[in-house]
Amino acid sequence: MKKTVLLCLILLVSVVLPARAGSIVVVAHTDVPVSALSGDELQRIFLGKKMFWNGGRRIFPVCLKRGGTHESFLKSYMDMNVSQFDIFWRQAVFVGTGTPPTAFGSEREVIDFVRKTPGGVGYVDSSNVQGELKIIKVK
Amino acid sequence: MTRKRPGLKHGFLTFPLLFLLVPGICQSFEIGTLNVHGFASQGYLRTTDNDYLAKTKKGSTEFNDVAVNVSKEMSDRLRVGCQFLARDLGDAGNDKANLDWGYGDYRFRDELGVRVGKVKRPMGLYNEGRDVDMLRTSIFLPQSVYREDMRDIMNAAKGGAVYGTIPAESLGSFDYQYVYGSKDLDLDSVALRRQFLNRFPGVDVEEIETNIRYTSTAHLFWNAPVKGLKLGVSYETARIEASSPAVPDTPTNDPDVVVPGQPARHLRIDLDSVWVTSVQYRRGDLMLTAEYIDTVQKFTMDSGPEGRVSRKGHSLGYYGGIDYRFNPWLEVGGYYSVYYPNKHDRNGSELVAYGMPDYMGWQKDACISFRFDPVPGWICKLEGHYIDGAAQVFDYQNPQEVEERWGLFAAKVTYSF
Repeated sequence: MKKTVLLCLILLVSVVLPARAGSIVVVAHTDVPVSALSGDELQRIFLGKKMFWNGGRRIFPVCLKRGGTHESFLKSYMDMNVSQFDIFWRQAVFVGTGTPPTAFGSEREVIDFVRKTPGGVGYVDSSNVQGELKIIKVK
Repeated sequence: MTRKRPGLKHGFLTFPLLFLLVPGICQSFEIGTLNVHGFASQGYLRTTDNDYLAKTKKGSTEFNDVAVNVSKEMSDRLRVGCQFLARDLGDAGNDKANLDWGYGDYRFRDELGVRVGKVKRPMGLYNEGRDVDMLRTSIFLPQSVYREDMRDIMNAAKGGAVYGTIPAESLGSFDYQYVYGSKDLDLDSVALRRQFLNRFPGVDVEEIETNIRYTSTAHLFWNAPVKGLKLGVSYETARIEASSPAVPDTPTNDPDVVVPGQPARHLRIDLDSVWVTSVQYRRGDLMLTAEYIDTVQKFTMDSGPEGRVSRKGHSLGYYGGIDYRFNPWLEVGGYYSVYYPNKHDRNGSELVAYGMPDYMGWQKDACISFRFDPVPGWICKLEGHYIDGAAQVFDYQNPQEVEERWGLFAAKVTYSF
């Protein structure tokens, strides 16, 4: 009986809670010169403060427009909610200090962009990773 | 040099309607690699007593902004862009479109970038984005630090900036920026009317030339290793100048009576030091903010034969605020803001000696704000203030008695793309 209750609880939690960092992967173009980033580096990339890979190649971060993967990425890796991330980039746009990452409506488009764009980096649900991509470990 | 232009006092929905009525321009778009963004807002202000920034005792809709910007990445390291902004807030702005910012931005590396042109001036957490309503919960920023009467002086400067982000491993990272420049000033603004007009009696406002001779601003943020914690400090010096020509003696119909003129006058306001310290802590949907400002300034009036008069001033202000996002469409925030125009006379006793009420010596503002984000691109805000003191109530807008305790209600709708 206890095992059944425990199993039900685990199932319930897995259904109710949004996807966590474990199911989100950071992906990059194969020419990106790193295989791991610190959490701070990843944050600086998606806030436009780190624009160049080691060696000087431009970083092209891409985002999802909405959805659970986007929310989980922001919460787990950026310590932000959707509104805070949106406001950060709106400030950059209307103060003139930066251009927001290109945002796509689907993970398929994120993968296609990253695969085709040298310096590209994005995030997707781990179940959607396919094709020639470099998986970036976040320390 | 500036010239006052004829005011467009209709205010209500002047520019916002252009955006909202023209189909097809109400969304962000790209022309090739040219990015185009904009916003338009319309507000309403009403006070229980004291006209504040506009004729608010009877309610005022002279409270709107509209902006359009374009930017383009010319290369991996070079970006250019500009923004035009038109705003109206009582006597200020009058919907005249101005270049808000416009510059070339070259990023040598993550640690070093350069901007040349008209650049926004960083000061505290919000000065650069003070005109952009969608960036915060409240309609009015805390007036102790972000004084509306100083907006035209603090907003931007023509010159250049260096900036960058320096990672510091286990210490987090540092964002820095230094801006140097100058700027012509427009006397069609609340701030400058208050500062200058009563110092040039008998002079037509159009004859007064004003400018910021120089401004120098250094700004540093520390993104601390504690998640969500940001600490900042800004330091600024500036010189603001205003000059009027001599007004000759004027004979009247009676040849024995002559109305005396005024000598040429030159007013200089030196912001000797403006220090702003900031702390912001964000955890999930909660954000806590506090800032402190300390300003030392010197007024020097050169009145020709009358000689030179000089006076120093030392003001301070601070606030603490809290914002919480309950869900994607509702955010509630509040702050308590305190401002003393004379740091050494916080109870206004020196003002009483000059025949003024003591409550002109402080302004304490308790504010609560509700921000609604009903659909993407649209924001509605409602805000209430209970204010004790009238240090930022302008005497030229309130020739009658100024009340000590008063309320302010504000509402604003903003559309952005």
